[in-house]
Amino acid sequence: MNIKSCYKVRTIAGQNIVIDYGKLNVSMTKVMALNNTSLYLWNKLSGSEFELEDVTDALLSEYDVERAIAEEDALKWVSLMKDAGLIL
Amino acid sequence: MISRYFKIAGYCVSISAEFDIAQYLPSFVPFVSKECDAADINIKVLKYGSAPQIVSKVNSYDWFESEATLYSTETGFLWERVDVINSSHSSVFWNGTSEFTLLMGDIVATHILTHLLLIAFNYATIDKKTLILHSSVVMKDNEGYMFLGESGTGKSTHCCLWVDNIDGASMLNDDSPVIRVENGNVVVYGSPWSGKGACYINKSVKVSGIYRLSQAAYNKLYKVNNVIAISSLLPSCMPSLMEVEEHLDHVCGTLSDIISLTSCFHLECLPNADAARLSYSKSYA
Repeated sequence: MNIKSCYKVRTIAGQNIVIDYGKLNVSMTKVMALNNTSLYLWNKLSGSEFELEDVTDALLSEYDVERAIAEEDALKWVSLMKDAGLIL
Repeated sequence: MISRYFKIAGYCVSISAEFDIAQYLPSFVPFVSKECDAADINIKVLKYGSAPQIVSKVNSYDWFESEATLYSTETGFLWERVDVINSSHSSVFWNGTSEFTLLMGDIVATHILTHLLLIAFNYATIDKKTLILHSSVVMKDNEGYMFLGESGTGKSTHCCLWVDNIDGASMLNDDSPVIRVENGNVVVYGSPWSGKGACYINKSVKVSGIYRLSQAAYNKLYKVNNVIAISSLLPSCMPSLMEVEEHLDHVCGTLSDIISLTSCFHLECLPNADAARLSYSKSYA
């Protein structure tokens, strides 16, 4: 899997924002806010092809947590990012 | 060439043409200014001329009774407008952000010229913490209250309710006001672009609140967090600004300051006087 290259994270009003600009004449534009962990993973993994295990390893290299917890979080992150259409 | 000068949102705009453009720009009358030594924005209006070579199409969309397309050129951009009624072609092209050329074609009409000038102004000021936000704005005690929302949500109606029910409230703009971030303040300016409201007022006030409106069977005001504010303000920017990464970077930078420095709300409302009093009071749930 990979992070779609068309998306860019911008810092807007203190938030890490990904803008999904598609539809015109809508009341609200779809935006996604990344927390700091998610931003860390984004920066670490974007531009490359990765597997679930790479997400776990990225978490373990930055955070002092048990492997089982990192695996669980990695799975959650991938699933959320896929639902949001940011990972292909 | 005959040059006319206008002061719009603090920018000196010089518009030059082989013919006198003044007769085509009634909404610009309140913004007429003395000749300035060095204009911030120079716009040349031609009936015929050669446009720069197009490199690629960025995107197209329907906008104000026209099919609009943004193209990139060797050194800048070209924005083309095809009228849906008479299919006349007109365009504006530029390199950088201070020199713009308008190619009018056969028909010089007020609505086309006014529209192309709006595009030029948008792009000319994009890197200067300036944005045109599609909204209706009322003033009260030297502060501005901006109402955003899709067409038909009742932005103008809500502002009329302010004017009718809140002492000292008056319209500043009913379609395309200019917002600038200046020394830590967010300031809204009236403009020559004001849609059906025909409200061309050369004044500016500090922004007190930005409200996204939606229709409801009750009146309720919410303060929104920054993420919701971003999501609410983005669709009110000119659509073609979203297509080029560099342009969107500027838009986001300006929005970031606007959102950080002002209060943003969501107002669910009826078209009545209580709704106007509620947004004025800022008593959010």
